[in-house]
Amino acid sequence: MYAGAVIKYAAQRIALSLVLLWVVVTFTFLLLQFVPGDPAAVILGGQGTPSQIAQLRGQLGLDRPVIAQYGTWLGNVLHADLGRSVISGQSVSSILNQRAPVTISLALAATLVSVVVGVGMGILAAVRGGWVDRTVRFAAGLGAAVPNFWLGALLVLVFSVWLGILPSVGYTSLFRAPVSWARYMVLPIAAVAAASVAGVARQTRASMSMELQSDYVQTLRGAGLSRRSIVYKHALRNASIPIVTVVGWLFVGLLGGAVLVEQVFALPGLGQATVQAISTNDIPVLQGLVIYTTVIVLIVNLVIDLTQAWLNPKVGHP
Amino acid sequence: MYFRTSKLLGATALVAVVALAACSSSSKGTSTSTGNNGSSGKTASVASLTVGSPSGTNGFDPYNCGYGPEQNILLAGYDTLIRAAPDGTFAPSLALSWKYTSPTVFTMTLRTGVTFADGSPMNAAAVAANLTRASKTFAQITAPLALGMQSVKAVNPTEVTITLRTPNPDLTTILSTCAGMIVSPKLLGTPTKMATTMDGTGPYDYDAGASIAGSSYTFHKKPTYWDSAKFPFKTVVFKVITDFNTAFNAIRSGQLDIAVGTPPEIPSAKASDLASVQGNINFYAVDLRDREGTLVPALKDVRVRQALNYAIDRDAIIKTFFEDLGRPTDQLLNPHAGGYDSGVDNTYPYNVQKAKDLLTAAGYPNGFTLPVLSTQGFQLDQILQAISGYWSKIGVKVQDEVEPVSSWETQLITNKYPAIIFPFSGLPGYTALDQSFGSASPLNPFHTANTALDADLATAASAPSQANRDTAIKSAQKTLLDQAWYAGVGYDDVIWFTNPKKVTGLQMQLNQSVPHFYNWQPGS
Repeated sequence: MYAGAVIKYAAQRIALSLVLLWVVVTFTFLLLQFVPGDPAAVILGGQGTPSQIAQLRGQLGLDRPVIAQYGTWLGNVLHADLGRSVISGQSVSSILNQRAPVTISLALAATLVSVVVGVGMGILAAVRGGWVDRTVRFAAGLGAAVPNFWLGALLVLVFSVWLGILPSVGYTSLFRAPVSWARYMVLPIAAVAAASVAGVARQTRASMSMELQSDYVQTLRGAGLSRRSIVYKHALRNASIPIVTVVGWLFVGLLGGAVLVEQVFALPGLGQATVQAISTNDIPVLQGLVIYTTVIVLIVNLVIDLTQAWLNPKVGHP
Repeated sequence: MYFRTSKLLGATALVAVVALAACSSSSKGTSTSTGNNGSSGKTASVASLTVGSPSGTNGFDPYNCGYGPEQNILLAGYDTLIRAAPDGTFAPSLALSWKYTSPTVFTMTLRTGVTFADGSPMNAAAVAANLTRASKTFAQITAPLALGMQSVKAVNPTEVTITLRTPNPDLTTILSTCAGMIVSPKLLGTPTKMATTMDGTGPYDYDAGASIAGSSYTFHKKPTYWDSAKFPFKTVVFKVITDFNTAFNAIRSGQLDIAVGTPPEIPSAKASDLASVQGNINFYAVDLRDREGTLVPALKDVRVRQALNYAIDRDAIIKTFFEDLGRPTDQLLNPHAGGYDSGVDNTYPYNVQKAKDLLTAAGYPNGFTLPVLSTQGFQLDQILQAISGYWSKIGVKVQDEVEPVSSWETQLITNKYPAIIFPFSGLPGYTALDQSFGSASPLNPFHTANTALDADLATAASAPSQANRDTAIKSAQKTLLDQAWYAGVGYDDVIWFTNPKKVTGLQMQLNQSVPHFYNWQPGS
């Protein structure tokens, strides 16, 4: 009965995600149509000859009726064919596939660090109280206040320039060389995660404090359960529902925050690709980035929704 | 127990950082293959080089290249016909020799025994095919060829003749830029592949698997190359780092061997034992294009244009942006260029009262509004803001039209804006003046003409000797200043830092903002 409800809930969420994706894909198609003047001439930056402009119009399919263009666009997107960069000539999919692992691994690792450190700090503050609580709250306030790009620059100065123990730029694949990946990513992860650690710590502290003061915790204490069992087995599970929501949004926020941090550490990720595509009018790449990022966000939202349903059966039954 | 848990977490974190640092330390001592991790020592220095480039390439078609750092990335795969030396002279490359047989006919004798990456021979037919494509491609780098070349002919397998519509004394310079890079005819036959593939006679093979276009470019030296000694590094990696601070930190921490810098970083660079080369390369000026007063009637009056020049404190602006390394002047030609005249360096000394008097005499005592196109690239918007501050003192209100670099480039050849701020660079005297101010030039979109200027440029183009050419260019520069066709601020200071243990030989080129690849040699 419960499993059936979860499957139904999951199906509803997936259907809603697909509708949202269709809306975004359609708006992304319209992005090119709304470019003032001839999009091909705009993309070529005024340096295109009439034949080059005509060739690009053909490449982008702009010489066909809008409905036909839209049909082809939808079909191509379904086949993961997002066109070719008008600057580098590479297929947009290959550009995004090359760069996505950088940004996703950065955001995932930063989320992991945020959860582990943030939840740990939050629990510590809620359980211990006193000076520990004040210290955690101060640290969380500091972490939330410091801009990630500034923190990144500071970390580079200390660990790369002064101490010389960690690299300031560069990237290797996580799967090809995990240790090297960790060396390159530790500073970017720290810079990106600082604010989100603070957010998770604050949320965890608030939720845990509320749970630890609730009636059922008093009852459990009266029943003689150990403090460890009460905190980790009962209070943390109930406190984790809002934490999961925060963590999910954190991941999405970290994807966006990576734009600046990728500039500071010269990481070849989606953020760097976005900046380059905007500055060079590379509209096919921009379209691809919007769709790609939307897919990532929808998947993350789906995972959050399903996790919440698992943690709290009421979520699937309004 | 909670205390123990937190101690455990702290200890784990500490161990992780120490372990990573240990990995870092160990690779410092042993790695010689990539140069990405601060390795040092003679073996490493010959094996690899890592270059910080402030910009990547727009694909690998040489004609999409400009006069910036992307030239060096393309030079890894493509040879130019002629090489430019830092002192302004030229050296053979794919062309062994060259000469003007008449003011409009330029003949080159080509090197033999050179092959493209695909194995096909480099010969006159291949060169002619490339130059024919240049004549049909109106890009920034090919503009002089597209505008001025009438035909190109492969006379025999080693001789090529270029026939020009009008004389151009700067063809050697043009053929030493990306416009003179020679692509395999096979690749020319498949234009769609040119953006992602390199097939040239250059010293290196592009490693697409180890590269991310727009972010990093890895090259491995070809086993055989006709001028191997000029390119001693086995592997060269160009990392695109747009942020100057990031690049500077990377070279200080040993991750880059070459990086572009800024004047305020020089003391820290010296403290880090970095070497530097610098040059006054780009001339910043507001090009007062609407000289017929089509959009802003005030600009038609030469007194107004002169007033705009008198109102600028060049010394203060250049010192603010480039400290003592910049060069305030209102002369567009640099001291190394033919036609330079130190006597006109300060034609319009800072004089607010004189500027106000000129405006009043021209009928604009309260000033006027002047839209100026600018961009955030090259610090142009910031420099324009500084100029605007001075012009506001004489009542001229600048309407700053900031566009992204790509849109700014698009607008350069339109007559939508009465004035633009522009970094004049990359070309020798004649071509710089003719391309920017010649009455037929696309960069003179209102096509304003001055009889004396056009006559001087024509004389310079067909002058029988360098001395005669210099005299004509000098005269053209004076006319431009007298007529105040632009309001100049001065020259910037381009700085490149290097790790002298890894690489030496960097020298600024006369008209280029990058030290060319073929002069770099291993450090001590």
